[in-house]
Amino acid sequence: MSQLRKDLISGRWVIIASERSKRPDDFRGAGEARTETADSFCPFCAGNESKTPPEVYALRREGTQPDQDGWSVRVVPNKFPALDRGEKTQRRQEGIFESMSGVGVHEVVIETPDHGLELSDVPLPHLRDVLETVRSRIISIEQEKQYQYVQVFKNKGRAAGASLSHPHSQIIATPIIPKRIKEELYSAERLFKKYQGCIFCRIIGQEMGLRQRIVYSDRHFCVLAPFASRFPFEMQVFPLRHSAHLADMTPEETESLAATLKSVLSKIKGLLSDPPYNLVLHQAPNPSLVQGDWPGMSKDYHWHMEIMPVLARVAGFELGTGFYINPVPPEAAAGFLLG
Amino acid sequence: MKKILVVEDEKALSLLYKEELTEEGYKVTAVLDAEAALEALAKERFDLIITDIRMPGKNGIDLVTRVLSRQPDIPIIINTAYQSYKNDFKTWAADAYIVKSSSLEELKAKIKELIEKPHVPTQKRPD
Amino acid sequence: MIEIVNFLAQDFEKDAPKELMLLSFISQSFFQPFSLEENLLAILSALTSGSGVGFNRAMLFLAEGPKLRGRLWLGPRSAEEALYIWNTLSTPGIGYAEIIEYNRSLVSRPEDNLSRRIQSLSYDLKAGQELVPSLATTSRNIVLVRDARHEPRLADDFREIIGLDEFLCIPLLAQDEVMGEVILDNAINRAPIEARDIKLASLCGLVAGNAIALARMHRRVTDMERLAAMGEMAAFVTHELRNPLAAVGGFVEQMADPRATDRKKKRNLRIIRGEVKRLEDILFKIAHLWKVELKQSPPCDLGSVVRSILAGPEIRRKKRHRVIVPDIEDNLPPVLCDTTYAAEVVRNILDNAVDATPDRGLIRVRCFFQDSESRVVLSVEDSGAGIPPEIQDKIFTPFFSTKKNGMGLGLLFVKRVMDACGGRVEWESGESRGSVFRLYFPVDKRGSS
Repeated sequence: MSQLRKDLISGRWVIIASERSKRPDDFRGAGEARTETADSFCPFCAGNESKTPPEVYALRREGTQPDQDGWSVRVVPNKFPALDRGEKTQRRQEGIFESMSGVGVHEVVIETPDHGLELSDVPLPHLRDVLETVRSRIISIEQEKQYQYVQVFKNKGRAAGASLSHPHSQIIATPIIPKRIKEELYSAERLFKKYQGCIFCRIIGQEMGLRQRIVYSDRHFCVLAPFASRFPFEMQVFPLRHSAHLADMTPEETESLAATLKSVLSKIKGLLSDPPYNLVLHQAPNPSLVQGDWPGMSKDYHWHMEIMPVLARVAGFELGTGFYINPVPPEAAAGFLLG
Repeated sequence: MKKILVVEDEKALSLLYKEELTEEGYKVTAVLDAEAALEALAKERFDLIITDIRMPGKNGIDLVTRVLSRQPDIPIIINTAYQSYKNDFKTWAADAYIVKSSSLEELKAKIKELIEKPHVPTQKRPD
Repeated sequence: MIEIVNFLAQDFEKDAPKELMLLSFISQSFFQPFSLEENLLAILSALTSGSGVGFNRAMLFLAEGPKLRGRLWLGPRSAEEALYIWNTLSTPGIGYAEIIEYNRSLVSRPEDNLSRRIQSLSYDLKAGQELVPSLATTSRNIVLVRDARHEPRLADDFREIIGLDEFLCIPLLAQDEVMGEVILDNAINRAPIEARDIKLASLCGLVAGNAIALARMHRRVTDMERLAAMGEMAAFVTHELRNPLAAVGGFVEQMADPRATDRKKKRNLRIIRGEVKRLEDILFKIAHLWKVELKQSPPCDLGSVVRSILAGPEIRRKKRHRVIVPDIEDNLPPVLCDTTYAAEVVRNILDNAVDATPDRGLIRVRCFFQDSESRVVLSVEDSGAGIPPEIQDKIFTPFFSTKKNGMGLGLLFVKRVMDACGGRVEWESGESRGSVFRLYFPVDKRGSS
């Protein structure tokens, strides 16, 4: 029995096709054997700091110097920016913060000094530190009004687009708002008017009540498999408190998010055989923007993260623009992950 | 005299680089692929490596990662026709990424900058 | 007992039933898929030639979006002309090819071109609207009009142009879609349109509709392929051009140095020339990759094309100590392919064979006429290592190449050209047994008997 489901916010149509029950083995990740051997040099590893540009931020042990060993999380700008037109971009130094005006910002967050330690495996305080780092960078970058939007995403595994297996995330700030975010903002605005309130809050409330597609929840966050999931085991992580910007998280919420991510990423790793995945932050544009463009964004929009595992045997696919087939119903995915 | 290893499979370019860099006062060894490069590196010390990415056999990025795990201090310049490999963070193992153009100015300037620089020794990875 | 029967559609006798002649006539057009235009002409010819259904004139309208537009009108302009045409075309020895050729010249002559009279006509295709000529298309039915003079449901401009009381409108259907319609009449001999004529005409309509749908689909697939490749191509082109440009730039700079010796300058010029040629090759392939549409190409002498490439400096330099054994039949019929493209195709295949064959190895180049299929075949067999099974289904895809400088467009280009001229490519490869590539070129039957 197939079901046609529409995603309220994106307007996408998805055919949830569950022709036959899946065996757990079908949910294996499109994993690859570690491509890098111990013989391979990794520029992100501790000890190789000279191979990266000077750091713009780092959490390090007392007494250690920038661009040296002794860090637990480290942020560096892109060493070979693609948008290099050969023009001299302005560099500004503010203490240990370095920023570049002009084209844009592209930074890499090196999540651990250890090549083999995944985000799901690090101790909770470390994961919290990574989130704090991201938060700190977003705030710093958004001080420049020209950066209308800050994208944060993580690719793990070759199949998800990661060129290097050392755990890392990327932060890209652009002077324009990406198209898909604009579409989400428009949608959120429209739906706010229609439903007289934040549509995301409404969805969260409904899902928490039904508990059919909830994968995890605690005091501050919930993780759900979206009603109209495009891809098998697609997940969304929502703060329960309405907020449009990740940077607004309280320290308690940050702790909670760390626990949430650790739980969900561990589950994915364990139950789906360590699949490659993409993790993307969806948040509102730079709050220091001229309010004219998106006056209601802090009301309409609700920040969240999307997790998309890349699986080998079952895959969703796109038939035409905005039309998908997903062979794993989100209810089944949630059930499977809950164990 | 500083020694440069040029790894480039296009014969015309290999010839050009050898001639031009010899003119600049370097001792140049030119090889046509990664295997030959590794052989050359096993035999003598070089002060700088310039390598292409797309080559028959092992590609330049693999070469760089291999070289650095044994000789972590050697300066490396990636010299390629492809802009797109900038998205591959493995290229950070090199010290510069130059996109081939009709002028050798950028390449020559980078060589000068890197070959004279005192090396910051990369520490061995803690085991 | 098994008997292989060779059959060609044109083998029907002239006094065979009309239906058979019609089918025979039309099906032949599918062996020579030049272009949509050619196919349409073939269909109209079938409807108007003496050996086909035998209407005097045939008008073609195509549905383009919400409108029905006039496209082609085939027929004699007067009784005298008609007599001339029919006498000419019914002489023994005149076959399908001649008829099409004749008709092509009819529709493309500049003075008082019938087609031009209807090309400005355009009618709305509104469902439920009862107006001739669009009625057949919108209702998907055959419409027979009698007494057009007094029929109000006729577009005035159309009534004037057709100038007749009786005519037949056949919709061209393909699955669910209506591609357009054909309007048939007997303006010259005023023969009444009978039931049998209607039946035959509708058969034609069905075949015609499908031909048009197929041509459109083919174009759409090509476009899609093109778009998909274009994304890759944009980045790809810049990269492919960079290497030769870097070489040219560098060696030019050297020459600009006042200390450069004459010897060096000469050598540099030689290198630069080589790189420029490379650039040209790349650009040619890319520019023509998607433009391979063979319109009206003069016949090509494949034998002499192959001979001249084998004798040319490029192959002779490239092959070094490899042995190329040519075996080219004399008096090969001309083939239906643009000579420049054919040469490029041959060069590509030969190039691959040379690359695959070890030094001092053997390459067999054969060129012969295959009677059973009416094709001229070029066969190139190398003695290389063969194409590994894991890449065998990729060799015709764009940007796939095993060569270090390969662009991966060569075989795709070959395939495009062969498809466009109505031929095909076949190949076989065995591990360590080498590969053989066979190109089947259709024989150019136009203007021959």
